[in-house]
Amino acid sequence: MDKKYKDVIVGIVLAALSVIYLLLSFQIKLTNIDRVVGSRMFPQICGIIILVLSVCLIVGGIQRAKKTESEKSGERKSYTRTILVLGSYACYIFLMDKIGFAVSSVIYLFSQMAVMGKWPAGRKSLLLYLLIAVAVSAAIYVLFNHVFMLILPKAGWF
Amino acid sequence: MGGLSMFAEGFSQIMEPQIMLLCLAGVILGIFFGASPGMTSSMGIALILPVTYGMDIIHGMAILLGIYIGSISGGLITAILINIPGTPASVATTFDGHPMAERGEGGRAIRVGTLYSLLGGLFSLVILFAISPVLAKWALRFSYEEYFAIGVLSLTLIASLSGGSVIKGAISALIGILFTTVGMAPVDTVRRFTFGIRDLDAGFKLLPLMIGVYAVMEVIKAADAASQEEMTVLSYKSKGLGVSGKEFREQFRNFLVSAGIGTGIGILPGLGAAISNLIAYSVSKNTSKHPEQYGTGCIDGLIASETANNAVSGGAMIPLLTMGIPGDAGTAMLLAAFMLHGITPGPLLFSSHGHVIYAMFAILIIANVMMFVVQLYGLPGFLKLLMIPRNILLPVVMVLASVGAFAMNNRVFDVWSIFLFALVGYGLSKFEFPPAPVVLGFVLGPIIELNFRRGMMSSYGNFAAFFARPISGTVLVLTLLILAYQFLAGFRKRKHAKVQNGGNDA
Repeated sequence: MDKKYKDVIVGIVLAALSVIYLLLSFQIKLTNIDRVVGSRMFPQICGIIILVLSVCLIVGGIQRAKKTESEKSGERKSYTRTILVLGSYACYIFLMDKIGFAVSSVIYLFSQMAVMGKWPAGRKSLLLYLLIAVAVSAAIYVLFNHVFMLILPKAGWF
Repeated sequence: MGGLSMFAEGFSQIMEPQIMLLCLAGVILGIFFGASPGMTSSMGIALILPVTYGMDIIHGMAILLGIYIGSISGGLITAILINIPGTPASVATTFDGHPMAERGEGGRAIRVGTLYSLLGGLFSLVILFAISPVLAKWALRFSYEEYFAIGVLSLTLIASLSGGSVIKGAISALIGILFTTVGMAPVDTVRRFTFGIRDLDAGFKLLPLMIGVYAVMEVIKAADAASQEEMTVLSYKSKGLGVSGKEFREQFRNFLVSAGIGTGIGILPGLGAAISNLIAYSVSKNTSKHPEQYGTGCIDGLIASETANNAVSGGAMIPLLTMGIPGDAGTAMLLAAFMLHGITPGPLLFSSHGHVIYAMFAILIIANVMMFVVQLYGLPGFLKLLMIPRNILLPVVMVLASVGAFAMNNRVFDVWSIFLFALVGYGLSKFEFPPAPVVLGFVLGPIIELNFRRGMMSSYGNFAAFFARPISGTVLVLTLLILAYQFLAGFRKRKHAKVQNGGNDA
């Protein structure tokens, strides 16, 4: 992606999203409780302002892009870790619902520590991660269920 | 009730060991959050909020306010000794604090910074105690129009001062508002943008938004920094308060000006500690007799920064308590905490829950004093905690955050919304949109909409009525002036750049 078109691209995406938002806003029901404003008007005002601002962003971006030399982002950034971080978090939430808080937290903590640490991780640090993962998730589980009296997701067998 | 009896009642309520311990725990956690780069007061409050679900409001506030006070000051530890601001509030502290540490005066810098954190905090509390009861009485006369106007002004301020492009700041704020339009609408409870999904009826919550936009971003950033940089801590041995009586007298004017700036910025809705320290630093530098020494490690700059950022704490409580309008992300989380405990901040709070207010005032004083003592004597401990590798600390933070989001309503939906907001936050940061306006937009959106609709209903659809009332009219005109100024300034800057660079402004 050419860096100088950054604002233009994000402007187009935002403009498109605000148009969708505005179209969807016409599905909001109008009632007799509030006939003056209704529940549509406020979202629509906000949607229109975003649309106008994104057009400004596009116009400003094009003007600037015309004036600047093309600047390719030099080094290609690796998104592997970012995707792994977001992916493992999504798996964690999914698992929390299915197998309960305690076990899913151990899995998540361990994998996340490994993903964020030095690659490749030595056996010693992996063992340390595992120990911390078990200890932390057990501590949180006990604290929240028995001290703060909040119920965490449980699996049938836990 | 005024004056001394107010404090007598406040202190009598909190003088029990449990509350003191909670406050102390809050201060310790707060200093730790403040000192950890990437973690802020708002995140600290968000993480600990679930712990307070089962407590009564005063116990809960003891720990949350402790975090709030501790975290603003804690940032100076890393700013001075490692040259990384622990929070945005201590950016200006690095300018002179770190050079001091480099020449071996790290301990003195910490002591001076901590002392002036305390003094700045106490200064702003005096203003808070003096102004808020009066303002609350005055705000009783506020109607829909005034709340609408103040909400709009706050958003305008945060959008235009959050750094970078004003358009991007405004878009961020509006994105925050758009998320509040999901779920039941105010006034007529019509479902909006729920697509038949039951969980969406109640809308999104602030806590997942906060965690998603800030905490997950930190995790991603830390994971991206594959080559873990080693942090070098400079020495910090020192004794005493760091300033002599003579220096204290010399710095008194600097202190007063910076404390005034900090408190004033705190009172202004939408602005916070992140801006105050930079403004106070530049004012102090520009009015100093020896501006050339700034940046080389002179205590003037350090004092300006640390006084101003802590002075925000008392100032920011003023709009929060009297009008229910938060000044920054930290007070926005405090607002959420109030709501969870069934208390709506606003002018009525002073008459209906006066005892809570007085207890909070007392907690704020205690928390400031505790911050001073803990930060001075616990410094080696905090430095050890700071050495916990980020790849171990941040996943634990994420688990705590997820627990907190889940426990709020016992549904995994709220944890999924963290994930959604993380994606939004990641996208925004990729394209250089500031995150703070999203949070404030999310908090202020419902206030603005509700009061807009009620105001319009009471004027039978005549928007001019918002300008007809003296206070709301003034505030709205002021908002328009700020917008016009921003527009003109942007226009002039572009023209200026064109002339200077021969049409080649990058």
